[in-house]
Amino acid sequence: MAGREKGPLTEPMYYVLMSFLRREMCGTEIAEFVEHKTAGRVSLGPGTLYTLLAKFQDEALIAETGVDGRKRTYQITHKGRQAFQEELNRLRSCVEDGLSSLDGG
Amino acid sequence: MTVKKPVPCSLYDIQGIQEWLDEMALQGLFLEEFTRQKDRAVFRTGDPKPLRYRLDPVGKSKNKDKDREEPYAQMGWKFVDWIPQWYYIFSSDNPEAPELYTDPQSLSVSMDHMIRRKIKTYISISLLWFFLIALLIFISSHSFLLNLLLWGYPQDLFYMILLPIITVIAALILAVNIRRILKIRNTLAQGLPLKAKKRWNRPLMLVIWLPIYILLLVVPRLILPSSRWETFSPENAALSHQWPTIAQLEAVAPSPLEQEPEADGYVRVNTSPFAPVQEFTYYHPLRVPQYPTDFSTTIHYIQASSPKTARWIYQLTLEERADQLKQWQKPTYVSHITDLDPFAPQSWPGLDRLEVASFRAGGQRGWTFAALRGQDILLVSYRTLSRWEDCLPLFLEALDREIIPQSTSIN
Repeated sequence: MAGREKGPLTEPMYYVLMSFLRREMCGTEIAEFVEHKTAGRVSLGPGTLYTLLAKFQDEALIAETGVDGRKRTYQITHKGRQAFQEELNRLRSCVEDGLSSLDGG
Repeated sequence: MTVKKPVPCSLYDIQGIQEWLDEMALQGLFLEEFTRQKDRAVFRTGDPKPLRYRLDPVGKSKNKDKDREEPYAQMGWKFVDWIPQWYYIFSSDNPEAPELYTDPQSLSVSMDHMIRRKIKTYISISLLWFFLIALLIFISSHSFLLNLLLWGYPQDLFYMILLPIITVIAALILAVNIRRILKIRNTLAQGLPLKAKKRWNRPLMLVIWLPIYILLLVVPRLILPSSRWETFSPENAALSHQWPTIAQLEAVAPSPLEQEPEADGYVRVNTSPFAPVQEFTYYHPLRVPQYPTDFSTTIHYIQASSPKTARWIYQLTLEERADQLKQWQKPTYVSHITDLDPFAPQSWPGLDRLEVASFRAGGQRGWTFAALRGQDILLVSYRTLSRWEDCLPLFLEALDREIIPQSTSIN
């Protein structure tokens, strides 16, 4: 079964999903993770981050695991992992196609 | 100190509003709030400084939206105000803080709820408005069609025609707005940044809307008369026909009058291009001993431009009068009637149609007949002891003798 039916993930979507692969996270932790992981190349504004979290929740790619005051933590779901894996495969194919073209393949 | 300024862009122009607010901050004007009408913004004055203002589309739940304030603040964005049904406004004085939306696609996603709600609202408003207009047209269709033919109340006619036209235009404007907002979302979904639209000059808007207002609401009132009915005293009104007098009508009653009573009354004339109307009401205010109440006669004569128009007007007039008779049965009505025997068709030589209704008013018998003959429509109401069968020939005789009227208005 496909993890996500709504086409490829955008770059911020991809990194937000990636941030949950190891552990549960809250919003600010996700922003820090993405900043660190991409060495500042991708930064998430609060509007972007919380809109994506709400969207992923609606699509059942992540689930809320706890609320502490206004701080909410989330974890990735099985469907979310599948969606991430599909996107990773797609990107891998894109890179391989690009590399083989450069090599004259 | 606060300053109020008109918003120079449409609320659909996200980039335009953001840029404008940023510019205001550089001039020392810091947004406090938007007015309820959403057309002006209130600014607090202070020392000019660079400040970024960003709009965050309103989401599905107000509570969930509220929960965002704290994490937004942690990331450098402070809540300023909100424009109901549209956006939350955040500002940041930290140049290091990332943009509120760092990619156009996420802003496009964020707009989804707002767009869905707007479309739902626009469609609901349009349906409700169309329903109300349809109801209004249904309720007033008789008087509207009569007005259209008799041209009695031009202003009412103008607004009845204008209302559906405005409704269609308003629906088109809503459709354009929906298209506009969908276009914005699609632009963002493609990853393209928004561009600010050209700002408008508020006085220019006044230059557009004020003339439209004047053209639609003021000019018609100045040009079109509210009523084209002219009123004359019976002496000054030269009627097209010499209608039977009270004495002539009572001559066929069981107790004929010995002499013509002093009658008072008035004549109303409407020179409609399709069907000129004459309405002659006369009454005798002093009681005659053998009658329990005063006489009251109304002769409503319409000469239509063609027999076909006459048939149409006849039917509409008949239905309107039938409704009136029903209304007059209410005890609260000043001269209410009882024992109503509603309009029933009758046959009469030489008449295309004849309908008669009878009633009692003020303890006295009365009747109304509606007669159609070629282009002529005659509607007579009379409170009398005479029978309508005896009076009708007198009216038909009068109808055969047309005279050229020349009236002097008493208006």
